[in-house]
Amino acid sequence: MQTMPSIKLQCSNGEIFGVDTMLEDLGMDDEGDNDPVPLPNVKAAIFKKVIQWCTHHKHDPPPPTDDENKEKWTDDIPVWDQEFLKVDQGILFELILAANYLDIKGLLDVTCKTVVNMIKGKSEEICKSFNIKIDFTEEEEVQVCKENQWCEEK
Amino acid sequence: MSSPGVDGDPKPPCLPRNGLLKLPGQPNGLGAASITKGTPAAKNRPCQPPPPPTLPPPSLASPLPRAALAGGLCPPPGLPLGGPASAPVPGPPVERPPLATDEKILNGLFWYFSACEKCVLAQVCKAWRRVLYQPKFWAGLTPVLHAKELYNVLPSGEKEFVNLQGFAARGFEGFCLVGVSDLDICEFIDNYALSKKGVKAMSLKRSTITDAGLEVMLEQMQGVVRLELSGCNDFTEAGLWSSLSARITSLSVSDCINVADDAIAAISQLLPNLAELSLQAYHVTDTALAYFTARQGHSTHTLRLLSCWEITNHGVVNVVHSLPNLTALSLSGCSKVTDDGVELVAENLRKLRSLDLSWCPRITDMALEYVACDLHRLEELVLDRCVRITDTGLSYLSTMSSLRSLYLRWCCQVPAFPALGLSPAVGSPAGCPLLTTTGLSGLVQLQELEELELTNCPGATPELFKYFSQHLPRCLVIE
Repeated sequence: MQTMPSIKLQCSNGEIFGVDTMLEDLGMDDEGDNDPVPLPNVKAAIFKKVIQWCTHHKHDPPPPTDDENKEKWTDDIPVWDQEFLKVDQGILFELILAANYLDIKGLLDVTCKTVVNMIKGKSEEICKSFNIKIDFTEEEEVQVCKENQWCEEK
Repeated sequence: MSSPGVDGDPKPPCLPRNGLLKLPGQPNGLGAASITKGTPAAKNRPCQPPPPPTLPPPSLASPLPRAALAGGLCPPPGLPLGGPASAPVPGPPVERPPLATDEKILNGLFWYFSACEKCVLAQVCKAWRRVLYQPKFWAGLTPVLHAKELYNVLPSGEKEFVNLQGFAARGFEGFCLVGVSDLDICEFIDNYALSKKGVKAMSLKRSTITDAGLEVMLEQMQGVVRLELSGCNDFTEAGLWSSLSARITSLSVSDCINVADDAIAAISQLLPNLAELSLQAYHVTDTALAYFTARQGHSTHTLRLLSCWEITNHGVVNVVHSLPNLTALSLSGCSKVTDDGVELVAENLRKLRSLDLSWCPRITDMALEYVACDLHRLEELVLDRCVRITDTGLSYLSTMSSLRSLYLRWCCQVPAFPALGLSPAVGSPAGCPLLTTTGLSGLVQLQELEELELTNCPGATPELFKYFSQHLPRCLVIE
């Protein structure tokens, strides 16, 4: 794996990071441009975590280009990633957005899977754990319940 | 520098303007500079100018607070979460929309759930339901609706048909209706918006549909090309003659009391485009299997004869001659078929990729020799409850390099005279399994094997599983 030249990335609060791990698709070429690349959508705290993940995974083989619109598994998160992602829900979502924005497929995959594994139980429980307001009227709730009973039996 | 944000909020330090950025002077001495590249993750991608501050970016689901608008940047391409990322902007703390209702995230997340789980998730909130109720999340799924679920009882005591809009939104291609009458089916057709053209598959189970009902259903639902009738005893062969339509490509009939040879006659005459036929009928005889026409000889690739107890090797002769292009054949439970019948299959149906001989008690190792010799394209072989197969048969199978799935469940014969003092439990040394561990271990030669089912096979010991996991690492072995 070739060593990337050190590149500078500037987060939304102005903080600047020098990064020499491989972050794909940062749109950099070797023009010797030393100015920081702005990342106005990524907070420094989140970016630190992203760098940490990338550094740990820098020797990973490239992820397979699987069909993105297909059912996926969630029980294959590596142990290091599981520990790494034991964070606040808010941070987890920010990581998903950052991974999406920075086009880091591996990180996007494990963060999504982690959230998916948190979404368990009945719909009321899900609402509670993610602080989602139930906005169905009583009628609508009955309707949506009825039209989703069919899956319980094969 | 960038224009002031709305409300005079402190400006973000860098704001892209058509790909040009100006950085404010930094205490760390970098100084102002311009960068002509696009934003990150923007290699070879067009850069969009940010939206004017007064309008929220149209692709975001929930309205953003105004201060958060400045970050409409180049959309990351080709990811499950398409569209520009929502932009939390520094400055005074702003109220952000709850991330759990962010539709871009949800569109990516919902792929990780099964159908049943998605049904629960649709009940969480409107945003989740809106995202979930897209056809892409329900492709290939068939809702099963029971007759009683189709009606609401009004306070006046009357019944009204339920609202099926939630099903139409999800674009289901097929429905399974259980316990329905002719009237229920007519109501379904009238009340489901997509019934006339949008439904491709209909399955009726344990229903009282009559000949007239069948005729109306197939006439009205013009899109139906796959039909399943199971446990429906109120329609007759005459009903099949009057209702089957040439557009049907797949037909399955099981446990319908009035189905016998004349049904096959109707099928053969009326369904030239039949690709797949599944028949479970106790009274179908060998003669009927000669009814298939040349059109079907061309188009039919899958034939399943399930528990057709009257079928003998003569019937098999008729099948191999009338349907020479079969790639999948099941004779499961056709208990009169013997090794000679399998020989005919092996010699004549060279294109077979799947063969099911389960529950055929007369099949012996000889049949497996024929199969191994001639069916070079066979990928799937089901031999569940073929109690006469021994290690010899296994040795023939071990030469079939094309095999990907092999089912040998319940192949153990319970010995008639268990050794004194020992009960004939599975795995007991007193049992004499005909498929021994050694014989089974020969299967490691099947390097393409992906699935091997050995339920209730006493020869399948823990040591054997370990051996398989070492030598057939890609194979899923099930006990």
